[in-house]
Amino acid sequence: MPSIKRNLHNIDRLLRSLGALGFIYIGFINPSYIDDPFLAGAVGIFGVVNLIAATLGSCPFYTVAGISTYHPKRPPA
Amino acid sequence: MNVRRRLVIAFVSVAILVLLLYGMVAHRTAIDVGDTEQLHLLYDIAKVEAKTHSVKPDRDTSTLTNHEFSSLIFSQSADGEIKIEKIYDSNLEQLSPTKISAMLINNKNRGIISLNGEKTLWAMAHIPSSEELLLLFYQEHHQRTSAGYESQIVARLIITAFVIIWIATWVALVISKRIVHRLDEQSSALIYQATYDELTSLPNRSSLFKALNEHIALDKTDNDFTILVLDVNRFKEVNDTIGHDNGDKLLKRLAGRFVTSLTSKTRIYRLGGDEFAILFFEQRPSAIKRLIRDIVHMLSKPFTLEGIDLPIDVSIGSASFPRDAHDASSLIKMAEVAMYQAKTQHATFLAYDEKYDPYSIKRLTLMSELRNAMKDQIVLFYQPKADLAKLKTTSVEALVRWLHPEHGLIPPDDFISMAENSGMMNELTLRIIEIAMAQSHEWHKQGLSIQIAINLSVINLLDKNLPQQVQSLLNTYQVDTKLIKFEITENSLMLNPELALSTLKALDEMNISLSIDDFGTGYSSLSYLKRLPVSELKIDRSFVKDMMNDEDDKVIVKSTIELAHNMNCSVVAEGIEDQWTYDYLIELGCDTAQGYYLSRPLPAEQLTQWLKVSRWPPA
Repeated sequence: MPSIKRNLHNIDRLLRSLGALGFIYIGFINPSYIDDPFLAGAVGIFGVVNLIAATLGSCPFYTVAGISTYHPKRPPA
Repeated sequence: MNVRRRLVIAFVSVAILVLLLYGMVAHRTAIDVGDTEQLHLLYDIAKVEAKTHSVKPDRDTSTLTNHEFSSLIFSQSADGEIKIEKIYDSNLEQLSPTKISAMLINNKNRGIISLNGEKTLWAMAHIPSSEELLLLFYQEHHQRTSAGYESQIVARLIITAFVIIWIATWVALVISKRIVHRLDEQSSALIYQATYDELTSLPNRSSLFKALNEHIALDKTDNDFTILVLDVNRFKEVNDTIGHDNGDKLLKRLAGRFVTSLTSKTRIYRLGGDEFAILFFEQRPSAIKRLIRDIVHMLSKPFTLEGIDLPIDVSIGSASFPRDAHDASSLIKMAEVAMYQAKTQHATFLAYDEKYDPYSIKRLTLMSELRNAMKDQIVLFYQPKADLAKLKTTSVEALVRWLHPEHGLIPPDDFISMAENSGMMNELTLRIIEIAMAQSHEWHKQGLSIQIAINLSVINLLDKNLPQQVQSLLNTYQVDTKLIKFEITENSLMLNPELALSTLKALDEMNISLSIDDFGTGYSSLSYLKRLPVSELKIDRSFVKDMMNDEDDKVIVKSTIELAHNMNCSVVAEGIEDQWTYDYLIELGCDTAQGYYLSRPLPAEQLTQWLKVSRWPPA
C-alpha cells in the first residue's frame, strides 16, 4: 500500500477537526438547523471526510491540487 | 501562483454571481408559490364562511375577526356600484368602495393588496341565496410563520452556496494546477530550445551572449576573459562526401570531445553550423597558447565515420575582454573576424587585430565620412613615366589619396575597397577623373602636354554609363582624349570579361588609350587579352624590383617585353628603384619606365617643378 503523503500542517489539522465536528453536529447530531435530510446528510459526510483527513494529516484534494500546508522541519545543520 | 490565484478568484466570483442570481430567483419563487397556496386556502375559507353566513346571517363573526383574519360584507348593484353592508374589523374601515371595485377588476376573486402598509391577502365569495358578497382578508401579523418558512429557504440556499463555492474553489485549484504544470513544462522546453543547441546539446549563441553580458557586468577587477571562435575547416566537403547525417554526427562527436577534454576554466558553445565558441577565463597569451595546443591535440585523433577516418582541423580566432572590446556582440564579431583571417592565412589560430577587420570602428567611421570627403578631401598624386627612347616624361599615373583632416594622408589601400563595398566607387572614380582632367586642362594652359593615366576599378568596368560620363567630363574640361589613359588590372577584367570588354571597347572608340596594369599577376588568358583594345602593358613591380637578383624575374620581364611588342603594345616597367635596373630595361627594349628611381608620386605643383629640373623633361 503506498504510504500517504502528509500535506496538512498541525494548525490546518486542528482547524479542520473543529470544522469537521461542527459539520457532523449540524449534519447528523442536530439536523434541525438545516431541516433537509439530504443536505444535512451531505454536510455530515463532508464533516466526516474532513475529520478523516485531519486525522491522517493528508487531504486528497490538496494532493490533486498540488497544495501543501505541511513543511517538514529541516534537519539541524 | 499568479495564474492559480486569478483562476480561483474568477471561479469563486462566477460561483457567487450565479448563486446570487439563482438565490434571488429561488427565494422569490418560493415566496410566490407560498402566496398562491395561501390564496387558494383563503378562497376556500371564504367560500365556507360565505356558506355559513347564508345559513346564519346574524352569526357572531368574532371568530373571523381575530388578528389573522378580517372580513366585510358588501353588495354590488347591476351597474357595478359597491355598497359596504357590514365591516367586522376596524382595520377595514378605511377600505372604500372604489378600492374594492379596483380589487375586483377583471372578475378576480382573490389577490394581494397593501392594507395599512402591510401585505394583505384577500378572497371573495358569494353568499348563497343573497346578493351579498363576503370579502375575507388575511394579514401576516405573525411573522413567526413566515419568518420560519423563509429562514428555512435561506438556510438551504446558504448551505448550497457554501457547497458550490467550495466545489468552485477546488475545481479552480485543480484546473490551475494542471495549467501551471503544463505552462511550466512548455516554458522550460522553450527556454531549453532558445538557449541550447538541439544537435549537440551545447548552449547556443544566445547563451553565449547572456554569459558574456553577465560576466562583463561583474564588478570585478579580474574578470578578464577571452572568447575563441572555432570553425571546422572544409566541413562542407565532409557534408558533401559522407552526407549531412554523418556531418551532424561529426559535429556531435566533436562537441563531445570538447566537453570531455577541455579544462574547467572553459565553457563551450555552438554558434551554428560548424562554428563553436569557447569562453576562456584567461587572457594571458601563454594560457591561450596552451589551450590552442590542447585543442589541436584533442583533434589530432581522426574521427571515424562510416569506416572512414576523418582528420579534422579547425581555424580559431580570439578576442579578449577588456582589451579588444567591452561588449559581447563586438567580442564575438572580433573573434569571428580573427577566425576568418586565420582561415585565409591557413593558420590554426589568430588573435584579433584591427588591421584585419574590415568592419572595425575606425573603418566604419571612415566609410561614413568618405561620401562627404569626396568633394574636397580627395587629392591626386602623380608619378611620372619616362619614355626610354626619347628620355622624356610623356605621361604620369594619377594616384589617389585621401587628405583626412584627422588622420592625414590615407593611402588608397585603406579606402578603395571600402568605397567598392559601399557602392561609392563609381562616384569616387568620377571624382578622380574630374580632378585629373582639371589638372590636364591646367597643364595644357601652361603649355605642358602630359598624358594622365587613371586607374579603373573592377566596379567601373561593370558600369555601362562610364564611357558616357567620361565623355561629358572631357567636354567640360575640353581635354584631348589623347591626354587621358585608363589603367585596368588584369584581375578586374576577369569578374565579368564580356561586360568589361564592351566598356573598354566603348572607351577605345572614344580614342582613349587603355593599359593593363600589374601584368603577369593575374589569371587572364592570352586569348582574352588579345581581344582587348589595349595599347600598353605594365609589368608588375614585383617582377621588376628584384629582376637584377632573380634570374626568373629577369626572364619574365624579358619575355613580357617581347610578348607585348609582338602584340603591338608598348611596355611600362613599374617599380624601378635603381640605375642598374633602369639601364638593363633600356637594354631589353622596354618602352617606358616608372618608379622611385625617377620620382615618387608627387602633388601636381611639385610635379610641375620636378618636370622643370628633371633628367626627363616633358615632351
